[in-house]
Amino acid sequence: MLDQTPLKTHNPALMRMALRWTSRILFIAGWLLIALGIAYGGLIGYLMWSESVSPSAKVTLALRDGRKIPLTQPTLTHSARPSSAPEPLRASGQPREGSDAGQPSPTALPSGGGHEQLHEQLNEAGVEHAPLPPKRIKIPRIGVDWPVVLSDNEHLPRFKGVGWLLGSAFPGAPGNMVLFGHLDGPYATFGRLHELQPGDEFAVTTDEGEFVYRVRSSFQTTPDDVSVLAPTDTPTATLITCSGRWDPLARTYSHRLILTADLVHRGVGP
Amino acid sequence: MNRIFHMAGWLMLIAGLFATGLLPAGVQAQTTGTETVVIKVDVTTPSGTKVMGTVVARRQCGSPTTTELSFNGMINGYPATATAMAVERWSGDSSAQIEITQITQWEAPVGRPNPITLNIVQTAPGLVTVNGVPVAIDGTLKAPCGGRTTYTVTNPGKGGEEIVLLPSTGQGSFFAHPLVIVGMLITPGILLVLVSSLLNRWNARRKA
Repeated sequence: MLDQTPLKTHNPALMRMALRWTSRILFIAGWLLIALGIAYGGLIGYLMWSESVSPSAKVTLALRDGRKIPLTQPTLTHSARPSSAPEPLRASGQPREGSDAGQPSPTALPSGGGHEQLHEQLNEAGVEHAPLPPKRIKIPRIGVDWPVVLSDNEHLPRFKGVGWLLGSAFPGAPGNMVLFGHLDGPYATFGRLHELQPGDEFAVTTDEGEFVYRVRSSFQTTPDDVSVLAPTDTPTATLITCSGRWDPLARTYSHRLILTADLVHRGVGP
Repeated sequence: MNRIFHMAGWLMLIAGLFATGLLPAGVQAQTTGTETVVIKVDVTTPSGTKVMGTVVARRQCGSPTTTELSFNGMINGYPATATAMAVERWSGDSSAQIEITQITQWEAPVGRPNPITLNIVQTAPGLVTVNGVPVAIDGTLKAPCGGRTTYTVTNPGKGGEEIVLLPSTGQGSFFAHPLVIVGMLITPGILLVLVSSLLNRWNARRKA
């Protein structure tokens, strides 16, 4: 038989104290939750404002002459029309200091307003609307066959790999695809880049195929000449490595070797 | 005490309404076909781990969408690759639940994570939350086969990146500069001369 007598409180003072403490704990927990909610809401609100003022995913080039241009490549979408890109700083074939600069680009298109023509040409060439990232770069003439990974100019691969600049173009797509590799040290990949001459070819592979570029020009410039990273309206590539004199105090070379190239061929299959 | 509870209740209500206003109307994507999407990732975790790379998502459009994910990039500068399978359930363009069902391959300098479900909500243009954690993206999300095929994902609130210098790709040698060699010879030479002079003085005092 169960005992049917009501439960008796043996110590009413203890009961009151337990209730008082439970109430206090609930009160504190409630205010903690409210404070956390307000803090989180404030954080999200601040980030919404911050991203509307200065989007974190945006990359800008600060040129030597003080101009700032967004690193935005012309893109092809399912709407079958490329979006507008900033006016390129240099059209294909524009002369620069250095060897053989000024050779006309093999795939040169009218600069500015050539997007529709370009798109038609790319369609005929079979370029997909959704390009894929580069996986390897192959330059048989100088023994280069290295993986390519996304990088920015401050975070380079700490292995034998080539960096693909965040914000630069996809292989085969309109725009300037920027690839950079170490000149020397344990991760050297572009140590013999200076041996390439205008007319030489190299290939960049993706999961969908191989894109062959032909070197248009080779020249040296100073590290602050970021105009070489500027978008183009034709499919081009820019290869970068260090050159010049090593400054042990600044821990960098005095110059950069720049190779510009134009897309000349697209192969099918990986 | 009652006033405090009353105020807290109102605050909770306002916060709830605010959150509800951010959520989109639920519309399921019904498209069929395939799509390849590339997501450029440049994220630094609170512990300082830098993740840079590209995620290629090959989608079988539909509701839900089955997706094959592959990552190629680097973690703290070291190579990292991974592949995984996922199921995506979208509500309109701005809200999705992505369930990573299986990690099929993992080669990275950090430990292999467990499968996870990601709840993604676009809170504003340029900002999404992933399981509540804010993440910056370029522009707005699009549901599978909605026409957008490339995204860039990064930490929010840091502002746009400004490139002022070309990347430094040289390791060089500390000893390459003639001045460094001169310094390396002269500095220990001066030290040796000083020590020798001190020893001489000490010896002279001892004799005295």
